[in-house]
Amino acid sequence: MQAKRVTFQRTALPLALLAPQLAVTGIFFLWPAYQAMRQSLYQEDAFGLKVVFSGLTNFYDLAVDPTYLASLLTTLVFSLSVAAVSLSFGLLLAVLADGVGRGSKFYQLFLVWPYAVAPAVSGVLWVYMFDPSIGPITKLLRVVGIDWNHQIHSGQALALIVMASCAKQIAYNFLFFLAGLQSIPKSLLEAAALDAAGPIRRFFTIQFPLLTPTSFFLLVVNMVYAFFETFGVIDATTYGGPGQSTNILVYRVFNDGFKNQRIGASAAESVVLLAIVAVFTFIQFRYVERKVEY
Amino acid sequence: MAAVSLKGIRKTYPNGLEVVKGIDLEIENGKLCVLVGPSGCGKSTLLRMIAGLESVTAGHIEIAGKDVAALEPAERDIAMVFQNYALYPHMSVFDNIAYGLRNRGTPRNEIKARVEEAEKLLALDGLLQRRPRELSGGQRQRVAMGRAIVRRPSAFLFDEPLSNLDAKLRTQMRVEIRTLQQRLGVTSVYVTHDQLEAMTMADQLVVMNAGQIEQVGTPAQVYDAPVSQFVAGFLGSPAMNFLPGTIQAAGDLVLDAGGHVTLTGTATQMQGQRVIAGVRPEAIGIAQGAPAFTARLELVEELGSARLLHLRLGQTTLVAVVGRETAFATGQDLPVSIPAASVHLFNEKTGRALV
Ligand SMILES: Nc1ncnc2c1ncn2[C@@H]1O[C@H](COP(=O)(O)OP(=O)(O)OP(=O)(O)O)[C@@H](O)[C@H]1O
Ligand SMILES: [Mg+2]
Repeated sequence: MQAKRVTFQRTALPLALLAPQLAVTGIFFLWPAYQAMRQSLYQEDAFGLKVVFSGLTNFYDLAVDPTYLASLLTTLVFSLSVAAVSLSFGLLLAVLADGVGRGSKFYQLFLVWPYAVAPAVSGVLWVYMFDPSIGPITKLLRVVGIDWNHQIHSGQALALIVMASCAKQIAYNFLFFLAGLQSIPKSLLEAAALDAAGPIRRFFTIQFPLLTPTSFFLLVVNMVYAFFETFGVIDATTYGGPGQSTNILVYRVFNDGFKNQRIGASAAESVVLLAIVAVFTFIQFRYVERKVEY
Repeated sequence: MAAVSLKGIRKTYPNGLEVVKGIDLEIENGKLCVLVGPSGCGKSTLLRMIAGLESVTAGHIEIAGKDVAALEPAERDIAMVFQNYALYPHMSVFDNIAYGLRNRGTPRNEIKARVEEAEKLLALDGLLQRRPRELSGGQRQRVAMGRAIVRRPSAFLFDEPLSNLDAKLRTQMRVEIRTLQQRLGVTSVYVTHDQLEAMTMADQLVVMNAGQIEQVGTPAQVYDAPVSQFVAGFLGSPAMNFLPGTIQAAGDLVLDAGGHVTLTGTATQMQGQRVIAGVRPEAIGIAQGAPAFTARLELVEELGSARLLHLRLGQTTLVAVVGRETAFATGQDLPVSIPAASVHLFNEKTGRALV
């Protein structure tokens, strides 16, 4: 009896403390995920009058839908570009701030600000700056002979959402890279300097290799971000257009579900996204935990 | 010609702290010079200035006859062994040792030959393909040495290279480093705060205190004739005993704590002077000759080879090293004798030695 009570006491408190988190996870993740999976197996008519179990038909339809496959390709190009651009700039800024040493606190603060701006707000800013008729950057570009209109040119639209999405990630990557750089013992770089390695060689042979775990971690984080969290940016800038050219998967889920009322298709697309995030999370846990020892 | 020559070296850090306050030092070719001093006295700062890792506020540094002021660390023809070894964690032992040679464009087969030579010299056989984290502390230490010697520099700089090792390994590595240094005949500057390491390894011993040199000499010279109370107390373990007193009649030192010590030589002319008498623990005799005073035995420490007696005389305690022939019981009152020849006298105010 007593043992039982003790056991009960031990689990009750942790459960109580976890309850809010569990509730949030349940309500905002598990329940919708379950709904998405269930609905992905049904098809509904356009008026929402009849719901029919359709097995994997929704998934089959996706697999043979050329616009969906194009969207998948766009998403890949988009997220790889976001990752590449924001990682390189984050690293470049971190290297510069690390070299500055004393003033780096200032740079840190300065560079972290974009991270605090809501994606929709920053999206609106980008739309304004690149507005085809009144945008200040558009005017500048016209001076150098570039005709900017992301409402017509699909390549420019993609470039715009990449830029708008990167602004925030650069700040995030910068912080991690800076922390990574500063955790490399100073004596390693001094030893390398004595070993006749100049700053550039030191970077490529000592600092960059030692940042590998950080880079890999950030690569996954940035890919996840580009895949799943860029809805706000797109909804504020291109709405997936022109045509389908910036209609990445996460935006498509919204389009199909809410605009086109194709609930079954939208649910199936969500499930695919869920599977992709699961893969990323697995990679994250499996490979990123490894640490470098100095 | 001196291999390393320092003239009027000063260092003030950007925060305004002056940590090196005018150092003049000449280190002869092929000699091992040990910089020893308490923590924070500026040893590492001085070494890093020689290496070029720290800027020099004032003064001149010459290495192998060349003023190095305008030279980058890599151009100074020195190699340094760091306290934490500073091995590149992502490279194999081979690559760690070869890194500096590769950066200098040494031909491939030459690199291989030199690394293999270092491998033999440092007993690194079979470790070349390992990563630093797969090595023991002593092995990492050797790799750090290897990285220094393959460069064939005109000077080695060591910053407390043994302080991360346990006591036994430290003794062993001390001998290894010294043997290797003598074999290669490379001028070396060795920083430590361990007085035993300093005494045993040095050709030239430099005792530093608060950014200045207190004394330079061979270990025996510095040990036998310390120029100040600081040096006297710093070298030797257990440390020298200090007993304040006044010189009364010719050659009669009356200790404040009670008791008389008979002095000889010039000290007999210093009547009325306040002094501090320094006596090394091994010079103190128990129940031999005319006792200077009797002291209460408070504690006996067994060292195996000898015994340490902790004695109380009035308010002061002193330590004596004695052989193991006689057994002593704590609480006993012992007659303590102090041979006149073994007494070092220091000015009570300045701490300078009185000859
Ligand atoms: N970069 C720096 N900026 C400001 N002060 C410093 C800096 N580096 C060292 N100091 C100060 O300079 C003094 C001397 O430091 P240093 O490292 O030379 O001492 P050390 O003799 O090597 O001591 P230890 O035996 O503890 O290594 C210390 O008081 C230290 O706090
Ligand atoms: Mg030091």
